[in-house]
Amino acid sequence: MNRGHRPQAAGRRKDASGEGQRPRAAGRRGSATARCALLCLCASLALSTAVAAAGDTDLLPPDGFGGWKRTGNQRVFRQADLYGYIDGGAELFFEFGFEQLTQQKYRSGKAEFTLDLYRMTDPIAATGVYLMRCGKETPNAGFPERHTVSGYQLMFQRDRYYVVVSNSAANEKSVPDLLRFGAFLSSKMPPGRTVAPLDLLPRHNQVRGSVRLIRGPYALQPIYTLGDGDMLLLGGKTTAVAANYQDSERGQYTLLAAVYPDPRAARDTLQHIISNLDRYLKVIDKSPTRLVFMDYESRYGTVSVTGARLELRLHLHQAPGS
Amino acid sequence: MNKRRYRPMSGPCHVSRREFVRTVGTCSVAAGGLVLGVPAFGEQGTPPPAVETNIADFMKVPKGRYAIPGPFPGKVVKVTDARSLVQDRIDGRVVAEMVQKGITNLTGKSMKDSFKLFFEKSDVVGIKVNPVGPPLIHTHEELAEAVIRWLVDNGLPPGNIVIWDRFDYMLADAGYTPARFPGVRIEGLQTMDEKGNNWRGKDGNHLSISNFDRDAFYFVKGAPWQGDRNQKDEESYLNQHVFNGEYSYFGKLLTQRLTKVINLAAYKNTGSGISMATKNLGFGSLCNTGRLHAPLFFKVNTEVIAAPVVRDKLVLNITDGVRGQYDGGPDKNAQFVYPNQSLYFATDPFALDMVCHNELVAKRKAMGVNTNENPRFTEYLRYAESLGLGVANVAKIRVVRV
Repeated sequence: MNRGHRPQAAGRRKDASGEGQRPRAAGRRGSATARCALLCLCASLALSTAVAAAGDTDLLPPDGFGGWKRTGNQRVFRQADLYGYIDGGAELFFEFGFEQLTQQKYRSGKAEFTLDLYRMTDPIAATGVYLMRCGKETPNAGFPERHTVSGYQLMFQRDRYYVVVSNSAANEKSVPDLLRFGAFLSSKMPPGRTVAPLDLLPRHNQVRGSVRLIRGPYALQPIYTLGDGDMLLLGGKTTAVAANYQDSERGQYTLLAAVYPDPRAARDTLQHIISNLDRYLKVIDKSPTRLVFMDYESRYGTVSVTGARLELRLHLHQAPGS
Repeated sequence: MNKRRYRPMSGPCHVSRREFVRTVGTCSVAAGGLVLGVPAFGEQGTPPPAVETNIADFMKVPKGRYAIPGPFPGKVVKVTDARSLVQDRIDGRVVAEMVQKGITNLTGKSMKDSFKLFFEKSDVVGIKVNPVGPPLIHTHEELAEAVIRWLVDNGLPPGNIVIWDRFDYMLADAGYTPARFPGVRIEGLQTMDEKGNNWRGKDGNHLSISNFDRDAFYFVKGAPWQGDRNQKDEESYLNQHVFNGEYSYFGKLLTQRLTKVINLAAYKNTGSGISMATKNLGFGSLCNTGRLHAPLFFKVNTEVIAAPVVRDKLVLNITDGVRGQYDGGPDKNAQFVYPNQSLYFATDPFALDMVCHNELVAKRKAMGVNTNENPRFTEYLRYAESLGLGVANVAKIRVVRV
């Protein structure tokens, strides 16, 4: 067998080997004061998260709801725990603003529902995740929240909650039960709040179902690659909105807008884009308030600043005018 | 066994960093970080950090007899049968027929002669499945059963077959159990304690530490676990990744026991890229991978498969596209799962991934999903071609549709 990649020495590398790992209780150093402070902090955090967990538990349908028995332990994922649950998918939640996931399973006969209740930091975060994951919505007229439902699952958003109720096997007969679960959850949640960034873009000629919210690179990535990292300098705080448009003059293109705290932040973002533009994009023209580039499909894009508003037009079939 | 002891690129080294970079060019130095297909670095305008890997060491080792791209570089066979998934139920009998058509069309030989092409009866064959996302979008057990039947029917003892993945609990959750696969071994490279408080043995080390081979590793300098923001602390990282340094060790199962590998991947997206054949092995063959997502991501697929312990044993790849998922991946999202009713066969995993990537892009467009076709999402496939590991140039790939 050709391995051909042996380490330089057979000795242990403390930074890399298991032998370098310490049992949690062993080898800890620190002053009594520091330990005391740490204990107080941990106790405080534990108390606050326990209260939060209890709050979300109250939102869940009780045992025996509509003939559905709770099964298994309730699982609560906080912050980085989420990575262990949705390996590869957690980053999007963190980017928008994630607080806690509460999961409970229910069983009725052979059927099993898994209820995932995501508590996000705010309604924008919940809406942002929902729009990224809902796909082509197939709503039921009897359920008032923004949602999509099929025999496999119900997905909806209300206030700062994003909810998925999954069915273990596709079954259209389960849809009424899925909606009953949704109605119960919804009735326990605060009323929905306005998501202001959605009003940044015009509705005329907007392609239905194409609106997305963006707070960082993970949400931007399916739409466009401007470069590495948080190219729009949103920092998880400023929210951009994007949508596709279709008109007879320009065909289909993408419009993206964000309003920054002040005009300087918008101009700095433009400069950041110009300085770090993706290697597959070619600059055609640039000024302190505007960038025009061509992409790998010979389509054009523009980035322009007006006051605190940054606006991008992408996938343009024709070179934009000055 | 080749006794030559190659030096990792850390510490004292005969090759300077500059020379190393020049030698392997952009191949081993991340020009831009990718996480799930997302450029992740430079979040506040900082340039992406450069990292070094031991890909050059891998490439110094002469290829083995069975090394990828195998006897059929650039050839991909797609078998489609609408009967394989009817009313959302998979028909194992039809899947078995598709496996036969796929293998015989790939090799141009009978199933018996195809077996002889890839295996000897004394081989220990590892079947790498993807158990993430059951019951919808994982490697379906019916496919594994059909492949195992082929191996056993041609004289391979069931005890010489190991169904494996990185994590033991995921295999069980996906239905890979002794009851379903009697006589066949089912092994995870490691365990992971979901509660995170019971993964250390009496000696204080991870229970799975001895499952990994300290002599066979993917070395990545400049990508410590601290750079992985998915892990809240060292404890949670070690629970999931066993080690936390600059070395990602290959599983001993792969390095010491398996003599051949069959790669059974799922058919799904990850961001604007795909999580199929090459990712199944790229992130499933070794530990300490959490740190790799940010600086390298897709490139890991290429470089891990380039390791002799993988590339010289990987004889067949089958991507399970009975169901596909065109968005929302890599985790399961029923909204985007669709009946694709196809299996894909290749000895060349990179040609296979290129074909499937392009298919999934077409599907995303057809479904009206935002589609980012930036070439960076397939750079790792062209990189593999430059290393002689496979074919990524679409003009050179031949797709046989059955």
